[in-house]
Amino acid sequence: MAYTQKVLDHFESPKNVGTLDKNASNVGTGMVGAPECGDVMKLQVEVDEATGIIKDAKFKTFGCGSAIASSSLATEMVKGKTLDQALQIKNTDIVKELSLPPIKIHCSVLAEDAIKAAVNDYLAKRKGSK
Amino acid sequence: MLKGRVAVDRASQPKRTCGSCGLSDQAPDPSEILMCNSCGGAQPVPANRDYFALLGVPPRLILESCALERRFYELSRALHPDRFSNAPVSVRRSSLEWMSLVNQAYKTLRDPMTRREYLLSLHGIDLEGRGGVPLQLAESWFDLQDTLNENASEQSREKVLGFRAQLSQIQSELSSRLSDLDRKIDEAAAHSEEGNALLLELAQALRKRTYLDSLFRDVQRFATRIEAA
Repeated sequence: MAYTQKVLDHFESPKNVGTLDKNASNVGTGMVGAPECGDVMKLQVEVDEATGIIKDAKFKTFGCGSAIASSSLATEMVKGKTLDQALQIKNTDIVKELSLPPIKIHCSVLAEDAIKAAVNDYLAKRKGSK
Repeated sequence: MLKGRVAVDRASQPKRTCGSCGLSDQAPDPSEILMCNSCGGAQPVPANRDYFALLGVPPRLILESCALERRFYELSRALHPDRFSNAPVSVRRSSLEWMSLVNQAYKTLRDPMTRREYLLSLHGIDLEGRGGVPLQLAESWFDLQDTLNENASEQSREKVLGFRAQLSQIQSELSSRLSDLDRKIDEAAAHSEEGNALLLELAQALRKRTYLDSLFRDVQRFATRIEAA
């Protein structure tokens, strides 16, 4: 299967690969998997607690090229967004941006799930500390 | 020899009626899988034909591969389009469709992995869903990647190779677990509570296997790079 140039760009030089301190109170971590290709994605968001805006995002993943590209794009998309805006991101936004073929739609679903898991982890943390 | 073939097919499909003339066949010839002996009308390929029944083997995970192969060759001889080069178009098309179904069935049941997936699908269980993610292993691997990026020392090299060895071990344990589940599922009564629980366990183990394979490829990629350096 031929990957589109955008997928290749994100795959060959993925943005925001790395780790944030998962114990920090303003970091939310989501780890999700999609069994179709055996992709596992860990996505983290760092929130500016004063404004509620995601100021940084990092990911780690193993799996197919589309999963790497989807998570790379997902971290780019959430940066600068509020938590609510981040939760509004749909997998179809990622599909459109990367022109993913039908067989790789689940990679974008995984990225959407990872964003939600990370944001919800942060929200749960904040609730717990109050 | 022909009789045996017919008997197996009849067992899986006890009552068949010709779609063209309506005659119910009491003793179908093998070629009649695709053509009514009475009127010569083509028999359409049924939707959702059970692969196990088609290949005349019990719906089990542990199968005698020779029985499967024998039945595959028998059906291939009976249904192959070459046999029907002078038959009406509808029969020739039917033969192509049947042959493609038989090929697909054989390919699916021959491989233990696709056989497991197929059996699960017969029970309405698919492998989608979010379970089975080896979270701790993934986390360990991501952490290990961080230390690798910091320094590519001899020590981190050892760690990657050690992790790969640990992962291989886990994979082989899972393979044994799968074989064990195969046996238990075959022994459990169909549609029993125990049988259903075992099938769900199998689905979970198969999901885990996909993740472990994918993780192993990633680790292997790092290991190859380290070994080449």
